[in-house]
Amino acid sequence: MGLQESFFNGFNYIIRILTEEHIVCSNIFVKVSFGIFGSVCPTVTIKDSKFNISINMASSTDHSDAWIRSNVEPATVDETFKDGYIDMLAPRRKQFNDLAWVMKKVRTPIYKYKHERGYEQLNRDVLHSDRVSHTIEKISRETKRPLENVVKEAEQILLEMAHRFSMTSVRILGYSLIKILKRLHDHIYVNVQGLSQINELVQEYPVLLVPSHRSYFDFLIFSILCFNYDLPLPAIVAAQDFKDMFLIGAMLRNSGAFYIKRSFRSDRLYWSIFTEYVQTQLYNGDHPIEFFVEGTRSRTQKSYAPKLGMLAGSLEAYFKGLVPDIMIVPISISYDRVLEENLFAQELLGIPKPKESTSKLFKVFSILNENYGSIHINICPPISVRQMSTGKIHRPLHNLEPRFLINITEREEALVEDIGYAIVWQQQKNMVLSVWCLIATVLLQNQQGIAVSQLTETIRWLKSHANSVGAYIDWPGGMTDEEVILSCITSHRHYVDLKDDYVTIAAVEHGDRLAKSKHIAGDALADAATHMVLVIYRNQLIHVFVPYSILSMIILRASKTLQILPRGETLRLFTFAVKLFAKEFVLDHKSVAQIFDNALQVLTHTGDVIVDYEGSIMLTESVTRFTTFLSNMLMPFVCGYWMLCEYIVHTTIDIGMGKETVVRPKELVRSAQYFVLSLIKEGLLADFELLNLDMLSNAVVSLKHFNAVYYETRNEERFVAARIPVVREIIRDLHCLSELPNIPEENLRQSASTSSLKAKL
Amino acid sequence: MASKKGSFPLKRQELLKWNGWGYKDSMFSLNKNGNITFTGSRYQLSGTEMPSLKQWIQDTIGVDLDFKTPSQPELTAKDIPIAKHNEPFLSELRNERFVHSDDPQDRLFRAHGHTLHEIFLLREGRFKRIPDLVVWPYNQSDVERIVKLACKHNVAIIPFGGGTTVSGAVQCPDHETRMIVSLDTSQMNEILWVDEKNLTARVQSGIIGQELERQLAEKGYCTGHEPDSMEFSSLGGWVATRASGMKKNVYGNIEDLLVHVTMVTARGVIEKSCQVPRISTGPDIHHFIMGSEGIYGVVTEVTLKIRPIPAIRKYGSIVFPDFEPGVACMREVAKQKCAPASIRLVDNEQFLFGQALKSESSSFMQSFIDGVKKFYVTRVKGFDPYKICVATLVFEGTAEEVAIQEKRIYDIASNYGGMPGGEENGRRGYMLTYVIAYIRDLALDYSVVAESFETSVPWDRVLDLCRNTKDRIYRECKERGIHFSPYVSCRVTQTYDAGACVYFYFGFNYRGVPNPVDVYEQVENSAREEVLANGGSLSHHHGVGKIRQKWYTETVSTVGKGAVEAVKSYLDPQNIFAAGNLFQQAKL
Repeated sequence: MGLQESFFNGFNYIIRILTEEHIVCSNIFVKVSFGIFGSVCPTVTIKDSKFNISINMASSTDHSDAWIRSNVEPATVDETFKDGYIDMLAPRRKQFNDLAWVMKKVRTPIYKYKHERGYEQLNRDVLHSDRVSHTIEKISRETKRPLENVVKEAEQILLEMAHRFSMTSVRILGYSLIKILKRLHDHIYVNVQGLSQINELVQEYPVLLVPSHRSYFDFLIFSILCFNYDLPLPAIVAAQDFKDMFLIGAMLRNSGAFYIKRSFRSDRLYWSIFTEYVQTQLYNGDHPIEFFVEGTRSRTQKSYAPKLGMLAGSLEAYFKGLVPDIMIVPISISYDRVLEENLFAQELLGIPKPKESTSKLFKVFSILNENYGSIHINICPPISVRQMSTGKIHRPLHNLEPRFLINITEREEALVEDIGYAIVWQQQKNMVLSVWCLIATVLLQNQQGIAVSQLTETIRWLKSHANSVGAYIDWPGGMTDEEVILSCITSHRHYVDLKDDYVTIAAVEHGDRLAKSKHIAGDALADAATHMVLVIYRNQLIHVFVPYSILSMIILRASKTLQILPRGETLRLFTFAVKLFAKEFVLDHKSVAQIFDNALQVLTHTGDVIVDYEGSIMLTESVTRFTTFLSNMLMPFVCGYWMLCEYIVHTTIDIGMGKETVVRPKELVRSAQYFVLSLIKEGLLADFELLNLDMLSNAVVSLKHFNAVYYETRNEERFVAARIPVVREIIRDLHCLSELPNIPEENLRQSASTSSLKAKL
Repeated sequence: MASKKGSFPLKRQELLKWNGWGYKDSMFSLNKNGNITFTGSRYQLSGTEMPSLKQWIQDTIGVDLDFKTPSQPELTAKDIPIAKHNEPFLSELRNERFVHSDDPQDRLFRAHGHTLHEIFLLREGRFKRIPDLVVWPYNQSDVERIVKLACKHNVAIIPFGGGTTVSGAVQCPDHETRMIVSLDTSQMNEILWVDEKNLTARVQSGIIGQELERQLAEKGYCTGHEPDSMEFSSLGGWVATRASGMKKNVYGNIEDLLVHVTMVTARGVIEKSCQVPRISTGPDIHHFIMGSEGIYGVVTEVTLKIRPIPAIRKYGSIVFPDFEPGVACMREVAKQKCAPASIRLVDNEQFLFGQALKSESSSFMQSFIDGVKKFYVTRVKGFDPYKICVATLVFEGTAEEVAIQEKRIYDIASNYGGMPGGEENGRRGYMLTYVIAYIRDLALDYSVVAESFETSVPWDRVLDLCRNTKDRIYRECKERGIHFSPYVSCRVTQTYDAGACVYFYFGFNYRGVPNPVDVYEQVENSAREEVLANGGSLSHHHGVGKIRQKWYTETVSTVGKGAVEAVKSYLDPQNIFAAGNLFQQAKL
């Protein structure tokens, strides 16, 4: 490579992308020229503030003067740079010397007010801060514990929490990680604009990096990226589960991870150390701080509602005027294929989550020694806390107390929640969807199988609809649609069978862990697990369609009995569904009417829904392929929630006498799963997705919001009890939402009683 | 009637600019060499050429010297609103032979202070409402009689002292339908007596700061009260706004200096019966006279503390590598309660500006370093000229006292990485204070709007407040489509036990912005919001006036405002003192 480069120096092209506009206008050029010299590696370097990206290419054959090179293949898109995404791995593949790469000199932009300090100094600063010393003193006074005692505890807490960031560790980890990444993934794409944006932001403001969280890889992928593009490496908030993992725990810590307990609101000392630890790093801009607002990896691959503790702890720094602003950068990390797909599927069915341990993690690596496609890292536009706060909070309220006392106002809390949701929506909106998502979605609606030609047509149709509502689908160029689909099926061959041009969901042998699982047995579950894998990929896409799906569902249901559906009633049902599925789909429950209007408008625009001049929906004309498809997509959720309701209703009747059944939430969910399973076995239900424990437990939470169930604490343990009339009301509304399977009352009762017995055993 | 020596003439516009700051003879202007000079002979800077200044304004504010935005020509009678006449009042006034004028220029001069808004109106617009008459009382009894007449005929009075207000305090409320009289105190400018046993002096409220000090100096005394506006501001104005002086560390602010005050209100005269150092007789009536901003009445006479003029006044300066250690050092000095007469910390932006005002043609950094060379040439090398901050110092006392003070301050400074920067740099710093006020007029000539604002803030928030407010201004300017990066600079001008006073300068080049003053005010309002959100006060010494009323209630609480209102409605049920400062007064 080096030889080539010097030999053909005369043909070197340097593309400087200085500004956004430049990116747009030079895009075509980049694509074209890469098309010709696809075999030649671009090297990408980012210089400090100006953020120049120069792509050097050496031609190997072309000597003509033509502007377009002669051996160009016009129909291909170069894989190293497309649609504003650049492939981080490409140079790593071409330049075999990864060692030189990890040892490279890293010169990152720094925050303008930063004072250089190592992690030891940082820890000292935290311990000696006004906030922490005040808390220590207070606790010592109130509990009559000797001061040194509390100081010791504080030191211990900090020791367990703090990162020990060192560039050397990053280099070591980076070396192994880049090898692994190259092996597992074809490309790691990142949007160039996002890189330049971060480069600018980190110099001006404290930055919070908030990636979506759908795989273990999320932890380090961004750090590697920062290392590669000379951006400051983040300090990463990690759950304590990882801390004790042999080797990995320490490695992560040395690469900037710091560990926090999942819940510590009541522990004053912990809370104050944590807050100080985070805020001092924001104040000094030591590192951008990276954390996962969803709190945990999304097993379902849908976005989770935001957890607000970390966000509130950080934003307090702005509320109290410690920093001029905080820039929150949501980051969408999309995987063509998630490393943990099997694990997640099994977990959703109730196979207990293995405790995070290194040997298990390695096992995962060794078992799944195969291709995982591409990763897309989409760095979203920043959310300025200042901008979001304008007119919503009144910061001078904090003037009457020293700033080291922790307190935020109710309005600030509400704002933190708004920002939390805004982050998740941004992440969702900027996800890159794979072809496989589309295939999974279609297959789930054709569980009996589908011909390749029909699948291709359906995918093409679905893709255009997804595009028109704002989804970005990573569609490979230079292939026919059928080739794209077939190649995608090949790389996911564990989950789909292709025989005689006919595609079906595969029946797969699953590991013995499944069989050992205590409460679920039977061959049905093996299929269910495969099914669940498809479900999680459909879930990656479902957010795109949810509002339209809900509306379509209502329309389809009503069309069975009515001609015209008035707007008011539609909105009522729509609101009901949004509220009911609040845990499933992260929607803005504060502006449901707006979402509804938007959905109606979109469906009217696509010609799928006809609205009369009074705003009522003409039902007979609104049953189309699209509305049917959308409606079916949501069907499992309605059905699953319904099943839980039915289970509650029937088990409560069993006990009878107006006495409410009291049950542990977990038991309730598990026995409801049995209930579904037995109905599936009887052939009365067909959809394996209904066995999804995550969905069933979401349903319980949702029923609580509707006051259909309530929690009771007995002997410090939480139990659920039901208010049957309210549950029945919900069942009625569920029937209005969708046409549910017809299951004889006798079977429901029978299955319910056996399931509740089983769960008790 | 002629004026006495040393005081403002009746027609002030003959001495002072009608549409800008200060004396008619003094201004920054472009000379035939294309360099900026300062005209006149009044100041040390006068007559010098400042070769680096042109470059500085071009580089820092984006000024294009070919793009001029000159003021309109001096307004003539036809451009000035016709005076409202309350005939019965006027005829009694004439009968009692009060000196008065309804000349348009006289009235226009008293229609404004020096906020950007007012100066911009003078340069490019028209005032909607200006005083209808100017009356010059010569003593307290004159004032009492004028106020009585005003009450009798329901005429509004706005007291007018030095006219240097930057809060809009002397502006006439647009909605005022009665005749408005501007009560010009400039002729009440005598020192009535000096009591050398008690070291006090009784002074009429219209005396101008520099004149007060000059006259006392003849007897070997001073008050030591030196607000930046002391060339033009009056004693009555200091009392009415709770003024602060540069050397308050030795002499105190106006509330510390004031021993007795007499104010004429619509109800009559309010004053204490004794001139004592301290008193315990319920809430202190002095404290609602001070800061009343002309809405309770007019201050006529004040007894002030005086001090013998110190043997030595010595300047000094400390150079810090950055603003942050500078602030930390100021805090330490306050903690050890060893602040010299004045200690001020200017940020890098202002430091660079100060260097740009130098007359030498060599690079200004070089000339700065020359000043420092004597001390620690080698150490300078470690300092980044674009981060350097300077604290300027004034020491006063006997030679020994000053030496002790100096040693203590420089010792503390060295703990914060600061090193002595020489006397000359200190002197320049203070000279700049007086001259910087003139620069706005030059700026306005070249499409730059600028203003200063100030606040007081607890020590722990000083640094954050400075950073955040600057950032806010940069952002707001950017978001409002201002093409040129604004100039924002701050200095910590006073230290107290519990906090400091911070002073901001802010300006931007408005070329391409259609409504610069509106945009300016929006940005300034945002800056003020930022200040308040960062624990700062609404004002340390400028006062509330009209432009900061929006935040008054929030600052003093609803009940607090109610109490102040209650005093107003007792003292002035007819709202004769109708300036409308602090809060919107109920219309009668």
